[in-house]
Amino acid sequence: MKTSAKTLADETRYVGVTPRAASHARHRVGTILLYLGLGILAIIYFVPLYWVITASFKETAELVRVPPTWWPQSFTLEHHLRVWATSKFLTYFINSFIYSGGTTLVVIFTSSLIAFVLVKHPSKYGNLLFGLIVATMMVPMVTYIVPLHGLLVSIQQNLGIPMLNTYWGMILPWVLYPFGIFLMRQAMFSVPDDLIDAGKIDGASTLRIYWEVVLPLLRSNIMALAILVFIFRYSDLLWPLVVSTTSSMYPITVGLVEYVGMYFTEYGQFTAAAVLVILPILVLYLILQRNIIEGVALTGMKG
Amino acid sequence: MPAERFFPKNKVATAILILATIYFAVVLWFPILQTFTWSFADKFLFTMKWVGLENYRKMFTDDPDFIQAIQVTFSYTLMSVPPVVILSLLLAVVVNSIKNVAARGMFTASYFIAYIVPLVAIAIVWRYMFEPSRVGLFNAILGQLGFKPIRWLADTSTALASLAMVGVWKDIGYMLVIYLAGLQAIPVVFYEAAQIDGASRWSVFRHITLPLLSPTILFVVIMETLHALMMFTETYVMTGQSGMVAGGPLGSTRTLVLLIYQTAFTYQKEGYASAIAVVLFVITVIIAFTQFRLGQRTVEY
Repeated sequence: MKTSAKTLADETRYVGVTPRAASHARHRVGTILLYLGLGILAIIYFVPLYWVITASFKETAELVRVPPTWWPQSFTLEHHLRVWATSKFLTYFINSFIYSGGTTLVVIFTSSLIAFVLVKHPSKYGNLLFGLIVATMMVPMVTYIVPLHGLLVSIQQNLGIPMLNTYWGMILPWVLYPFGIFLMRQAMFSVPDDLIDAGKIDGASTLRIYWEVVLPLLRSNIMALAILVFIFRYSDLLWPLVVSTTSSMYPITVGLVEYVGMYFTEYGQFTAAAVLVILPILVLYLILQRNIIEGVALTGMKG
Repeated sequence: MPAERFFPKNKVATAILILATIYFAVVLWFPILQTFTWSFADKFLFTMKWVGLENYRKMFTDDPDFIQAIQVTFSYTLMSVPPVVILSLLLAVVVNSIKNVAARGMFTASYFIAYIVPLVAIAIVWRYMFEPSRVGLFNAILGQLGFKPIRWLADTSTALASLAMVGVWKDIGYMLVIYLAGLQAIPVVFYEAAQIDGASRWSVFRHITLPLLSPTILFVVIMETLHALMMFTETYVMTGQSGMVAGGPLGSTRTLVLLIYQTAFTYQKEGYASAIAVVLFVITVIIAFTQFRLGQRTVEY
């Protein structure tokens, strides 16, 4: 980190024949302009968030005023209260937390367990399997979503296990997660073989070594994976749209689209609903932004 | 270490690998293959009739919606990929030149927010800002600057570009993070050498940063293209009062993914939807592969 933090600006700072003092002054002006430009851009980037949050607290009369007001002139909780009163947002939230939380819990264990087998019990078959997983990792879900839906239908029909419109059906395609396996496999190389051998000598079973030796060592990597998987599944639209067919099973994203479809002229209500959906992720991001950004940089993982 | 045995010696490990294989076969590999087989059938739930190449014939000769969806998908890709690739690169170079680590992190985090907030919700915000009346933020700004209002999402000529604005806004923050990771992997010795040679900022960028960053740029181009070809959420949320009628006005924002979704789950033609999915799959593979080969030729290490 220390060396890589030396950047272009450091390296080109004293280039040329300008006397040092003049160069310093020019450098300072340059830095101020740089911060100013990036700051303005950051503010522009915040406009949509600012706009939706302020709108959700403005009174209806102010919302339809032309031109709209940059600074809110009124304050009301009416829209937020009405969202809770006129919709099943509580149900949507519970569904979303079961879907994304459940998926996250499952994924961190399956990913680390498979990675453990791949790296610490190497075999030709394991390498072959990993190769196949990587080869199909980038295939977008939409290209096989129709047969995947068909799979749920036929499990339901032939095995009698309810799949459509259930949490199981929603979570099923994410039980083993190629990106998770990929990420955990990278991390697994840093687990010393000595510790595992020591466990074997003590007579611990394979699963016990995984549980008691390997998992604790991977805590920070698992944390990074968990946050990303949770956020991505929380934001999912396409798959829950296909699986959930009644509003009692909608996750928050589907519920929101549905709600906005009903109240598309009520600016206050649908902005309040959108704020509700954004809020949990925003809070999570404010607390864990370092881990989130590092996780993305490490894997190139995309939702 | 090189693996000697075909299966692990450990029985539990072998069982785990077999279970994983079964899972991926059932939930991933088999469905991918099924997309191809179903594309030759007329299918809904339990009724299935083989129709040979009929779906493909109809698609290319007798289905204006499909042809339009192809055009829409390609236009969207062309509109959104170059801005994301170029703007996030410039932004990354600028952000990377900040010496203060805390300030650099703060700027990165600010732009990254656009990517991390749930797209469904933020797309609704954009739809609100795009309101064709003066209540919409963009038209209010245009009005105050003395311009005529634009109908944004309500006009066939601007709707897709409006969606592209959202996509570009959202993905720049993500690609910025990828570029920054790439920039920080460039060894400082190169810049030190350039400094000794007295190279200008531009030539440092042109002759050191750009070539050494080329693998990352290639990655960004391919990822962003794949992402653009799969655009769905923006159009589903922003172009119809409810998702069923999304894709308007007049199909000008109906992407291939939206068409697949509507064909399969609204009109319940699973065979025909599979055929469209096959076309999308083939297009994606061809484009990604071409980019990769072209890229490999220009990537320098």
